[in-house]
Amino acid sequence: MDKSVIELLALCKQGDFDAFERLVRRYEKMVYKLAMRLLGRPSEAEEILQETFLQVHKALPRFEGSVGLSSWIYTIALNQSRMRLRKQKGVVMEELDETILSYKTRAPEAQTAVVLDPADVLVDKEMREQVESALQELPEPYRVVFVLRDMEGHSTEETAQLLDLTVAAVKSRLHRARMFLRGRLCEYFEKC
Amino acid sequence: MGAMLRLRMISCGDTVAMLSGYVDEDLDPKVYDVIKKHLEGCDNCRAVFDSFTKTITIYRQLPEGEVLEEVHIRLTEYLKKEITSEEGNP
Repeated sequence: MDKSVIELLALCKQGDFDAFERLVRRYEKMVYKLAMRLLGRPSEAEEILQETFLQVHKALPRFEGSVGLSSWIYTIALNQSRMRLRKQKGVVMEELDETILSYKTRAPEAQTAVVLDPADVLVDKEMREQVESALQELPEPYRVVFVLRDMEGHSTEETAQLLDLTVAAVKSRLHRARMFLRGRLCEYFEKC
Repeated sequence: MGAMLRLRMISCGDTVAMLSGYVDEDLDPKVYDVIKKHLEGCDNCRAVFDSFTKTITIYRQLPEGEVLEEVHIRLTEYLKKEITSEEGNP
């Protein structure tokens, strides 16, 4: 662990609030980014920030550094976000399957007319909102895998470890999530 | 021989089912080549593959959320209040 982090931790454990605020400042973006991707709403991401760092403060005396501080905080934030996600209503599984399989019923000419352009989507605010909204429709088990693997950049093995899943389960959920999102984006943009 | 023949005649459904493995290059090399050939010759599957990879690209490139200073201030105030209250009531 970085020497400055060890010193910061020691001060936090002595009850130094200014040191704890520096620790918060150091890791808040990582937590907020994850919570925003999983929950989609700034107000909820802000609540995850509060819940995560309060839990970090409570558990700090027991933190021994067997995993990195960053990974430890990340796991707390992930668990807090997942608990909240489970209370949300996403699409039902049947609808997930229908969207995934809809390519089979499309006419060949509709399948080939693909003009979905990532550059266009990312610069257009309205399009970006549609993209973010599609992600929020994914049921929790799929959304969490997709976010960790494709958006947060974890490997399949790391994702499996973070979620206590098998590698095969991660691959299966990732594929279904990607197919669902592909279907949704095609519906929104009517371009494929 | 039978298995290889079946692989050469892979269906569109099986191709699409293996797109993630194909994109992540996480397939047996022989299966990878069969899918590659299928995609070269099937307009439908190539269209699905194209929108599939573009979808992944879009999500990978979405802007990251930034913590506004006002959010940091609210967070710090909340934590200070909660921690002080806990220390007052151990």
